[in-house]
Formats: sequence, C-alpha cells, structure tokens
Amino acid sequence: MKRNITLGTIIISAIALSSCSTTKLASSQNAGDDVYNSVAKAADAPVYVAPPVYRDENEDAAEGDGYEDDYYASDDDYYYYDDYASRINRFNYYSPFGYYDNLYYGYSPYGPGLGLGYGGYGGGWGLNIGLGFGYAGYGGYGFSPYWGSPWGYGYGGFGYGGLGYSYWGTGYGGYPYWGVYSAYNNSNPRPYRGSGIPDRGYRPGMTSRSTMSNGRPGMSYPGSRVATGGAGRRPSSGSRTSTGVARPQRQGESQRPVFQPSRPTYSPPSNSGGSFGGGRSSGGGGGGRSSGGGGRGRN
Amino acid sequence: MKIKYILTVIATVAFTNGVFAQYSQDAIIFSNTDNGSTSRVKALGGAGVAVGGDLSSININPAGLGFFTKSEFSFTPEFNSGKTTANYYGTSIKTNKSTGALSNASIVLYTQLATPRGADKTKGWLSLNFGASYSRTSNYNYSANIQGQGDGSGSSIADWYSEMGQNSNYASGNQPTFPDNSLEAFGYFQGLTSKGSLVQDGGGNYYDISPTTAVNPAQQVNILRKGGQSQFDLSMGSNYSNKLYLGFGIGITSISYDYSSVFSEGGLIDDPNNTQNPNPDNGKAYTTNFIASQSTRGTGFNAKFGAIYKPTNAVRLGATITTPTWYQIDDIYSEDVETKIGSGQFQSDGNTYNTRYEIRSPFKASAGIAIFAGSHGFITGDVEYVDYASTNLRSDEYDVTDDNLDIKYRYKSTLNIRAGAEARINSNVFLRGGYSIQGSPQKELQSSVKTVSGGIGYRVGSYYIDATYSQSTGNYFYAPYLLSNNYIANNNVTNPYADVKRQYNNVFVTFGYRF
Repeated sequence: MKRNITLGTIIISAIALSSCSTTKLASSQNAGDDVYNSVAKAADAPVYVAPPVYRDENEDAAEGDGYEDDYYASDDDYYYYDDYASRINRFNYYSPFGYYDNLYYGYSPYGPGLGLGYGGYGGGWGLNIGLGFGYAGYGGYGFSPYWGSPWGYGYGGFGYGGLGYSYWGTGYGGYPYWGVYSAYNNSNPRPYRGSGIPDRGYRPGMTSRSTMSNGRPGMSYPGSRVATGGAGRRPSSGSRTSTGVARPQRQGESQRPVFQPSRPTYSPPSNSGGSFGGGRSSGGGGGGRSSGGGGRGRN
Repeated sequence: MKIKYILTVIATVAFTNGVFAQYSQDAIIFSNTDNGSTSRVKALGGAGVAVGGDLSSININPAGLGFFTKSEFSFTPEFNSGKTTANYYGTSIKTNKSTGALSNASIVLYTQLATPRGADKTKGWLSLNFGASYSRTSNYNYSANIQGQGDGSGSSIADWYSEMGQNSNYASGNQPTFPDNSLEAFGYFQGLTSKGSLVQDGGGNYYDISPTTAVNPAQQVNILRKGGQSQFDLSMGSNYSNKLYLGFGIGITSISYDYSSVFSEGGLIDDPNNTQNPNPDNGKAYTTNFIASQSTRGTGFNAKFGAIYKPTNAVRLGATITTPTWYQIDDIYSEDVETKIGSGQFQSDGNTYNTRYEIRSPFKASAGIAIFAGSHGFITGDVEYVDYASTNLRSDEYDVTDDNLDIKYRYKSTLNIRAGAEARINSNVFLRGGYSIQGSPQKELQSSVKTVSGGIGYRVGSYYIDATYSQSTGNYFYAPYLLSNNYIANNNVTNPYADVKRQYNNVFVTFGYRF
C-alpha cells in the first residue's frame, strides 16, 4: 500500500514534469547548475523615500491657519500611515532583504521564515517547526512587523509551532503518549542481559551474580508452584529415538554429592490466571506489539 | 581452540542485535545515520561537504546553500532490494526483502541580499538562501532466515537460561526462585533447565542450575525488521563575495523501528543431572521457541553549522559540525518462551517490557574537499568523525548505568570516508561514480559497510533528472543468545554465531526543477 502511494506519486510527478518539459525542450535553454561556476550577485539596496515634508506654504501667515509648521516633517509615520514605505520605515529603517522595493513588484515573492516552537506541556518535548514561507503577495499586511528579520514566526506551513501539535500528525506533541504508546503506563524496562556483544572482557566491574536489574524481591515462584504430580502431565511419547547424542559431561557435576529429587516440573497455573498471565496483557493494548504479536507462529 | 578460532573470526566483523537486544545496542543503531541527499550526491558516494550548490547541502552542509542563484525543488524516491545470506553451522540461507520509500524531498529558496547602489555587486554578503528538506537517513528493513545444527558440538538455548538462572536464583525452601517473569524462570519451569546441588553462599544459598537438553539441537531464527529514520531539516546558507559560504541548520528526526524474531530449537532432553533420580523427560524430543518483538518510536533534534571556502575557483574546502541528536525514545519489547516436551502441550510464558528513555547521539564533524576542472567535472571527498563511545542514555524510568558502561567500553570512534567524481559531458549530461566506507562503531570488531555507486544526470532548461544505483555490503555476526566465556569454558559449549552478509541494492531517482 505504502509502495503504491509512492509509486503513484512518482508516476504522476514524472508525467507532470515531463509534460512541462516538452515546451522547454524546444526553447533549448541553457541548463543551469549552481554546482558549477555559481556567481551570486547582490541586489541594489532600496533607496528610501525621503520623509515627506508638508510645510505651510505661506510662511507669513499666522499660526492657526490649519497647518502646523514642521509637524509632519518630524514624524514620518503618521501622515502616510497607509503608505507602504511608511510602514516599512516605521518598523525597519533598513532591511537587508530589500522588501521595500521587491515586495510589491514581485522580485522576491517569498519571505521565508524559520520558526521553532516548543510544544511540550505535558512532559515530552514536542518540538515543532513552522515553516513560514509566507507568500509575500498576501503577507505584506499581517506579518510585516516581523519581516525585517530572517526569522519569521513559525506560523503556517507545516504544523502550528506554538500549539504543540506534532507536525507529523501522530498525535499531540506534548502529551507523552502517542498512538502506539497508548498502552504505556508504568515503565517496565527490559532486564539487563549484557551488552549483546561477545564477552571480551572489556567491561570492568561486572559481577557474576547480581547483574539482573529486575531485582530480587517480589518473587512470584513460591515452592508450591512445583506440582508434585507434574510428572503425569507429559505422557511419554513413543517417538523416542536414540541419536547417540550425549550431552558432554558438565564440569562440576561430580561435585554434587547431594541427592536431588527429580527435576521439578512446572504445571502452569492454567495459563489464564496467576501471576504469569497478569503481566502480559497490560502492555499489549498498543499497536507496538502488533508486528510480533500477530505473526507469532511456531516453527 | 575452537572457541579461539571463532573469536578470531568475529574479530573481523561487526555484531548485530541478537534476539535479546539491549538498549545500548539500540542506541548505537539509532545513532548510526546517513546524510539525506539527492541522487547526485548519492552517486558521489555521499560526499557533499565541500561541493555546495546541490539540494543535498540542506542536510550535509548548509553552507552549500550559499551557492544557489535560483530557487530549486526536487524529490527523490528510492527502491531498495535487500539480500541477506546467513551462514549458521554450515547451512547457508538467502533471504530477500524489497522496499520503496521517499528518500528525499528538498526545496531551496534563493534570497538575494542588497548592497548599496554603486557598490561592487560581487562583494560582501550576496545572498541568504533558505532550504527545507525531508530525507530518510536510515533504512532498517531487513529479513533473515538462519538455520543450522551443530555437528556434535554447539549449545542449546537452555544453556542461556541455565547461566542466567545460575546467576539469579536463590534457594527458598528446597526450590530455586527466580526473578519475576524472567527467561530463566520460564526455562526452568518449562523443563529446559533443572536444579543441581545447593550452594552455600554468604548472603543466601542458591542452586546450581543446568540445562536438560543435548548440546547440538537444530536451531532456526527468523528475523524481520522494518522501519527507518527520517529527518526534516531547515537550513540557511549565505554567500560572502562568492568566496566564503556559511550555513546553519536544524533537524528534527523521527525513528520508527519494528523488530521481531522467532527462535526455534528442537532436540532431545538429555539431563545428566539427578543421576540417582533421573529426569523423567530424558530421551524425549522437545521443541522450544523464543519469540521476541520490539516496537520503538522516537523523535530527536539536532543542529548543524557549516562553512565552505573557495581559495581559488577550482578548489572548495568544506567543514561541518553536527551537534548530538537528542532523542526521546518510547520502547515496547515483549518476549515469550514456548516449550513442548514429548507429546505434551506447549507451555507458554512471556512478558512485556516498556519504557522510555533519551539518547544523546555522538556529535559529528566532517571535512571535505572538492577540486573542479573548470566546467568539465570535479572530484570530491569527505571524512566524517563520529565517536560512538560518547553515545549516552538517560532515563527517568530505569537505571541506565549498565547500558552506558557497555557503550563506553564496547564502542569506539570511527571515520566514515566518502569520495566521488562527476564528469560533465556537456551542459546536459553528467556521469558520476563514488565509493564510501562506513566504519564500525564496535571496538575490536572491525567491520565496515562499503558502498559503491554510479549515476547519470540529465538537465534541460529548468528541469533535471538524476538516477543513481548503489550497492552496499556489510558483514555481521548474529547470535540468538550469548554465553559468557566462563560458562563456555566450564561447559564445553560454543556460542551460536551466525555469519550474516547483508547487501542492499538501491536505486534513487531525483526529479528537480529550478525556478
């Protein structure tokens, strides 16, 4: 299924791209490639509009004729409040991006922004990214206060930076438990069983006993577990074959003078209750086990 | 001598996760990522630190974004065919698994900077370009089928249960007791191990535990692993006088890792214990399965700084530093033991473990050089340094001390080397080739993943397409269980090593557009 979607995407995109390229082929444009000989050039910095000066034309007239001399000259924002240059100037007297000119005349339609939201409020950090490729055509109004800075406010694009949703949509970025982990309740880590690499003696400080992290207390195997009548549970099979394979004598066996009863046989407590079954069901609710749980076959 | 021989053999390969994966092993697996890149850089063996001007710069070296003079978009699907050959006690089995995925999708937006009118337009800060990309940085998909039988020697999984039981039980009444839901308890109560003599110990008495099975059972493991790691990058790169390029980026990673393995063993019960009161199961056939499954999800973030300097037009020097990736991991692992002796019923016991922890992966530093022959092509090479021993786990949920000590003592720093060349046949057609060696993170188990790649590119107008084929090969050892050296020496058994060769054949195709 996943592959089908991918394949579909590829095919559709390939068709789309190839259909576009047919016209381009004829135009025989030179192929551009910034790996080779990329030479970037800077743009011209904007020349800002000189603040308008509205003077009382009639210098001789008395005050109170409706004009206050030099009033507007000292405040470039107010009079031209709706003027774009005025708004840019109000917030950014200089912009390295040259928004003043480009924005309205379409040189640079993108005002890329980079936003980082910290979405965690429940313990986990749901780090989100808002990709503020605010399209300048519209963006000019609402966001303009921030545009002098290359750091937009991560708004729009993928996911809401500030709200704590994960951009890959698997749940709440901040709330600790995502989809497959809904079964997560209390931590029950795997027991430590070594490094998983053959013992080459690199690791100091390991003792031969007491490496289990599960802890000794709380044993659930009282002696009564070993059923005395267990021998009958496994009727001897007729398939006994002699293979001639003998387990090599284990060292130390001769040191066991004490008579031992037969190997204790464990009769499972009907496998539906008891302390064996209890531990397993709690974790199984989530999707996490599905890969192994479903395909559990006996080979 | 046999043990020595096997140890010599494994000194030449890496060790891969056994069925009882430890958190430390997972942390190393998750820390071992590739750079996301386009087909072009994949064909160059992944070398892209010094090249610049390709969309791979977003992920490999954000300074390379400064080379862009137009905006550009591309996406790269990939197809992987994985082939596994497992050799176990002389039996060799091949397994195939094929997957497809979106390898990379990238966009760079060119933003020209302004300098005062009349100034030299090729001096100063000329552009500040922004890039965003999604890339798959690890492919965890693989399957393996391992089967074989020791010829008169070997070991049984009961040896493993026995050794663990020996180390963890204590005597209570006249019976050993084991940790709750432990494998040694399952093994004992399912009849795979039995108790021997009572050992007087200062702190508390315990029983000798020994296996009841013959040493050379038939064994089989089926492994299926799925998932991958992906990274979403936001980067920016600037251009100073077409000489110096600086970049910065942040990355958000996502891990999806699902693992399942079914180990099966069949043989005869042959319990030398209790000779005066023999084990009633002696001589019976048994089958036992060990089923493990793991599902891990995680997210992480990192940051990257990069620079490229052009001392002359023909030479580019690049360097990047990538911070550690801080991951938060959620993990569910379950294991079950099922045993049937004689014609009895299967007894089944299992347990599920879940926890969450954090990984701080090693920081990475890389340096590269690219030498251009005008517009006719270039050669480039990268070296990347990663110190896996600095990987660190942290958890509020469990004690990570053992895992961190294992990482410190069993893993090391390594160098990854990547090199490639591109020939520009004309302004439309490109040919590429590359080679890379990814070093093993494991100490003294020297192994590396080697990748050979080749590709072709075609550009016309604003469009381009790049196709790359790569083949990577690695040798690993796999053990369904591991016994300690002491146990091996005292009991005349061997560790069950499977020699696994993994080979991936990958095809990447990038479709790109400049605007």
